[in-house]
Amino acid sequence: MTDLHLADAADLASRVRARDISATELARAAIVRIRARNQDVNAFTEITEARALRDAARVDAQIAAGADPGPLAGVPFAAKNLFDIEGVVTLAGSVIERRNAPAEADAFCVARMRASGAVCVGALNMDEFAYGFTTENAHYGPCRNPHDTVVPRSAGGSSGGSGAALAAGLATLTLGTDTNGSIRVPASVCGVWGLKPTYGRLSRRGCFPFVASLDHVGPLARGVADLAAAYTALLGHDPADPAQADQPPQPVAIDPDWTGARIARLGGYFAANGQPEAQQAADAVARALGAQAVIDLPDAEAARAAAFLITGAEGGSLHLPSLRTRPDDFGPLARDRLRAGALIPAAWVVHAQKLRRVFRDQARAVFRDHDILVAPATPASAQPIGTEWLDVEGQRIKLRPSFGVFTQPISCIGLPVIAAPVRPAAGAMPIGVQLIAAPWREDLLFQAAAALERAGLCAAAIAEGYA
Amino acid sequence: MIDIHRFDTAAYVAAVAPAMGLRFSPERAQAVSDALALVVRVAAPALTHPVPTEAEPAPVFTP
Repeated sequence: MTDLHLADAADLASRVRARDISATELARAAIVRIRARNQDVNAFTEITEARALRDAARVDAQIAAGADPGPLAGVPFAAKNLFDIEGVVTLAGSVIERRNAPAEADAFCVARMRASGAVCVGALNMDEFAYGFTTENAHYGPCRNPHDTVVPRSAGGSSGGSGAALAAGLATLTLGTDTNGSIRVPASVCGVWGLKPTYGRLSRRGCFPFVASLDHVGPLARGVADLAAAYTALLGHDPADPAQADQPPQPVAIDPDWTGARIARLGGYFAANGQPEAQQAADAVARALGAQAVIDLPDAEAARAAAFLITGAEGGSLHLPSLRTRPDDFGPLARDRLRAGALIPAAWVVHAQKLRRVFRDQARAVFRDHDILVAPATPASAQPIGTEWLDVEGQRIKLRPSFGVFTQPISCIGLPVIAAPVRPAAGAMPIGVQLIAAPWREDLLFQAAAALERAGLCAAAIAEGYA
Repeated sequence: MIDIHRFDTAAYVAAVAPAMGLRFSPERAQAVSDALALVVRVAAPALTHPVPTEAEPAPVFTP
């Protein structure tokens, strides 16, 4: 019972189905552990104990009746607090939303997890309105990276709670969202796996929006099989999400005999802009996958710039009413950036949206010759909370906007990405690498990720102080 | 499309913010101007990148 937090989702679900342990016992153990350890990391903003016990009892009743509770039977999961969870106020990291009524229904993805037998144990900390890469939340406190119990370090963002909860062993699976890197950045610095699927793959219904043009949802996990199981659970057609593409669900099955694909390491922009640890991690992954080339993704810097503009403008527009009437209710890291975003000229935004088309076409050409592209996920590993500046190649750059320097060009055109955690050297902080595929080729990413896991180069572990 | 060195973010914020219904102190105006200056600096590679006339904007809209 004491090591349940170490088990993977498949193991837990099979034990629940075999009645080796009940889903109720599993939910109780998860909640006891969250109550005991969350204060160290501040990953959870709410523990949904009553719901968890209710859902767990439902799973146990299904098993007792001989019914199939689903592949994630009894597996504890938690969702970033911008996902609607029935009965919980959807905060989106803000106090502005705190006065709202509790959600009347689950977000599509939360409902999909429940339908697969998973048990929601809580809501997770995040940057205010998802506008950040550090989860230094002014209202609910910063989320602390479990991998350093001495120096308080950022868990990344904006889905910082989703990364930290996994690295601290407080949940088996988590859900996050990614507009410019908000799954991949916390996955990288917390040393866990994260998937940002193709734009339009998973329904965003019931998620508090940020930038409709760029918002994605996706899972995080401590293993590739778990990530695949969560992703498969989340697939499903939803006419209520206007951005969901007309693609059939494509469940993922890991092939242990997968022999590889055409791999390239991204150079140019992606070989600069990061500290040596970021580049070395990408090099190691590229070598392990047998990369045959170092190639350029044309205009990546312009693509990042386009994403930056669209984010500012759409985010600023979304919050303009509250910026007019309740500016003091925004935290300092969001308020003035959102104000500035609301003032971005329309001509710039239209230009940026056109540029996305151009960049997309250039990327499509690259994928004619390559299947998977390898690039760093973050320019550095987790930095101490409150850090303002980062030294990169002799230059001092602002840390907070720069943590998405490698992720923004990719989400700008909606390519699917797995952030793979490179096993850190003893005493080092973790850092991740992006595996990038052509649209709708998540399947290739999972095969490559599983190969890296089998080779032992990439692995997600519960942080030493939490194992 | 833009010369980032000639874009006076402070003057722009002072002129446009009231029209957008945004009111703030001079101190906050400076912070908003700084935030916009960062946008302009980061956005420059996009704003100076040509796009063909026939390029369609990217957003999804299905009537």
